[in-house]
Amino acid sequence: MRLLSNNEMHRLSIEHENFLRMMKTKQRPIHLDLRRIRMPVNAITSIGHRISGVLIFLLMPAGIFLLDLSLMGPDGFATVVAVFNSFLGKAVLLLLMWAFVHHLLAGLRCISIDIDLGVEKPFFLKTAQAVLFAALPVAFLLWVAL
Amino acid sequence: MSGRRVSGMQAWALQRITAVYLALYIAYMIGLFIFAPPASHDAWQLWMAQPHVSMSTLLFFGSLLFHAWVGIRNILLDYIKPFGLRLALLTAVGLGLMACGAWSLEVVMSARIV
Repeated sequence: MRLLSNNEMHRLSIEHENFLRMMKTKQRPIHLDLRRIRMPVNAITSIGHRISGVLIFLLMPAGIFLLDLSLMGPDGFATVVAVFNSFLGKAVLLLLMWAFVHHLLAGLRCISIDIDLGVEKPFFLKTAQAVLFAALPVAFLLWVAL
Repeated sequence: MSGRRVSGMQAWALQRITAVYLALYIAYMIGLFIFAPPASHDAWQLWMAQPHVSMSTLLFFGSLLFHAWVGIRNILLDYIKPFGLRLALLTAVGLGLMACGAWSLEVVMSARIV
C-alpha cells in the first residue's frame, strides 16, 4: 500500500528529523505517567477514546457469543432477548452505547484534525469539549430508543 | 512502503478505512434494531442468511479485528515498556483476535447453512 509520493515521504522524514532534534535539544521530559501529565479537556476526550476502544474490545467475545446463541434456535433467541431485558444487560448496553458514540465522535474529530480541520487552539478545545459532552446524551437517547 | 521511511503509515490508513466501514455498519444495525427489530428467531435467521447481509457482517468482523489490533497495539506500545511482557500481551491479543475472527466466521456461516 503506497499512499505518498517520494517527495511527500522525503518532506515527512525531514519534518520527523527536525522534530527529533527539537525533542533532544529542549530536554523535554518524555514519559506517559498518567498521574503526572496535566489533563486539559482534549486529553480527557483522548483518553476516553482509548478507554471506550478497550471496552468494546473486551466486550467483543460476549457479543459474538450472544450472536451465536441468537442464531442457534428459538430457545437461544429467547435467552438473548431475556439477557437484553435484564438489569445487567441493559446496564452493559448503556455502557456500550456510550463507548460506541464517544469512540465514533472522537474518531471523527481525529480524522478532521488529520485533514487540518480544527487544529487551531480555541476550536481544537471546543470540539474536544463537544465530543466529551455530546456522547453522553446521544448514547442515552439511542439506548432509550432501543 | 519503500524503505519504510514513514513507518506506521499503513496502520494509520488501515485504522481510518476500517473506521468508516465500522461506523456505517453499526449505524445501520442500530437503525435496524430501533425501527424494525427482528420479531422472532426465524425472521432474524432468515435476515442474517441473506448473502449481502452475511457478507457485510463478515466484513464488519474483519474490519473490527484489524481496527482493534491497531488500536490495542498502540496502547500496549505506549504503556508497556518491559519487552517480555509487551511481547506476551501483544501475542495474547493477536491470538485472541484471530480466535474471535474464526468464531465469528463460524457463527455467520452457520446461519446460512441451517
